[in-house]
Amino acid sequence: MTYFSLTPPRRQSLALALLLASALTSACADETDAEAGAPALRLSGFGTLGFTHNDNHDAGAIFSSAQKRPAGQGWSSNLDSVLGLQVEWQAGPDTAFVLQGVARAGDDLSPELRMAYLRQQISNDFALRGGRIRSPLYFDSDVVEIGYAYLMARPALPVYGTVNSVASIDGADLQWRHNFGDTAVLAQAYYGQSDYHHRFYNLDPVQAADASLRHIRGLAVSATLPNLILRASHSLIGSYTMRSPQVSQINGATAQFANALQAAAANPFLPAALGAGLQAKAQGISALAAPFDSRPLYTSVGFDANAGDWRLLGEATRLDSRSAMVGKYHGYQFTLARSFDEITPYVSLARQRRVSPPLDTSALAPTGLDPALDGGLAQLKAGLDQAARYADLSTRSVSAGVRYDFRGNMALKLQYDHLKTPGAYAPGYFAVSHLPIRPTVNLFTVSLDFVF
Amino acid sequence: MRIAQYSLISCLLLACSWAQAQVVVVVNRDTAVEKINSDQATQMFLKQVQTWPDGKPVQPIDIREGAPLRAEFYSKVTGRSPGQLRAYWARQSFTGMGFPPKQADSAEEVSKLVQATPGAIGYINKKQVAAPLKVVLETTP
Repeated sequence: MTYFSLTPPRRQSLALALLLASALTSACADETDAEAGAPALRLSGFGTLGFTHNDNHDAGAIFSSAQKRPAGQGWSSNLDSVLGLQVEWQAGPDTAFVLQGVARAGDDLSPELRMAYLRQQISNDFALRGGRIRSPLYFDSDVVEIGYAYLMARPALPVYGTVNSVASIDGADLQWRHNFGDTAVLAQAYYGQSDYHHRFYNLDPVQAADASLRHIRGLAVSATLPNLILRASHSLIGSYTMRSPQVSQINGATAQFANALQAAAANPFLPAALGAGLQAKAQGISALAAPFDSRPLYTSVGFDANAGDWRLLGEATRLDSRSAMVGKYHGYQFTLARSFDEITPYVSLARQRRVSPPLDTSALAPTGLDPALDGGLAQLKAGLDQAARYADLSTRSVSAGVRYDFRGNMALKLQYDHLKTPGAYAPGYFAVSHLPIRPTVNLFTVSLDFVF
Repeated sequence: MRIAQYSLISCLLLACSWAQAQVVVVVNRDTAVEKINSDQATQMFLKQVQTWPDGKPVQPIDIREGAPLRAEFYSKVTGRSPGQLRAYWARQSFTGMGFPPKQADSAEEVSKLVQATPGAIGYINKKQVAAPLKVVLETTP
């Protein structure tokens, strides 16, 4: 199994090349393999032109932690607007190449390569994809940017905001499809890595850390019945690291203090009790090193059910970062919709709740040995306590909207979202530059989704 | 003005003729099934089911978008509107999880492709059924 990584400049160059290739191939997009009766080369695309009104001055709405420009107070197109282009080349009956580039308004329309893979059908039941594939972490992770293919304006931000940053994986997946009577089963095993710029909106100016996810592996299994889709997935991340000058400073400071206390504890002239106390404190501080690094587990169980004109979607999620700073979360989302021909009103509830306590920084309490040492510890403690407050992503939402499929390839959506964080000192899943905040956010969205 | 009236009448007549068309689902004569139901046909054209009971690959053949027979088939057999179908394939193709079936320009071409392709399944007007094809599902007119 092989995989490759794309550094940001290479990624942008490739994305630009894709868009150029798309333009060049548009002239021959319908080039047809006469024998197969299917186009060998196909250009297609999708897009959303969305405008969102945010009533909160303190909390910018974001699609992911990688978003450069949040949708702040007033009207903005930064939350949902996106354009995607895709080129598919059916190189043979069992072999296909796919390239997909997207440009998001919230990222200044910088093109990014979202998919670039070779798909090989190995047998009737097995297919292998290698290259860059869309994220399979949650039920709708792969469709979050394709508004036309999704019922609402966007998958619920409280649940999906935390995983939208991992938009794609560089690696491979193996798909197995099999039918058991009327039930079509798809199992997808995947492995790879992902990189993005994680933004810390509380820093002035906003700083971006290089986030790297390595050894992403997981399994997603779905069962499709005539009126029901069930899906369960579990993903493990070998290491999820963030690196920036600020993060390195925190990492360096904790290591420095831990080493200093370790050295002091080893002093043979110290009373035994004091030495043991310092030793314990040094270990406590060591445990705080690299607080943003984690090894998350993502679990999702969801369904999409149809009964006549009614549709019910639901999903329960678990995120265990295995990091005291980042925390552990439980989440859910439920959406109920009813179709009246081309018009589909819907309501939705979603919540992501931190179920682990905030980072414990008591190891950084003053030693009483040296004012300079205690001053440094106090400074580090204040920094980590503040970071811990911003790390609580608990958010809940109530949404109501209507989708109008007014053309065969276009849909208009109006959606209202009422989002809430646990309190004025809990920023939730928003771009927040200072605390306290007003913990409620009302979003009103008008969007036009299309495919071509 | 007169041309516009004739055009309108022609369109209405055409629409009426399609509204009365009986869509049938046909398969290659070597396919090892005699009948399928609407749910099974739906799963095959949505590529959720990709093999026949004997393990051979299902090769669905669609008619191009915009053709009245296509809308008729998807409405009667799958219960899906053109918009819903488009949304379904948008999800499949833009996430890399699947691509729409091969498309033919007309029912005649569907007949030819189904005859020539092992495992093929298509839909045509009942009046167009030729001997080598096997009808596995009939819709009500």
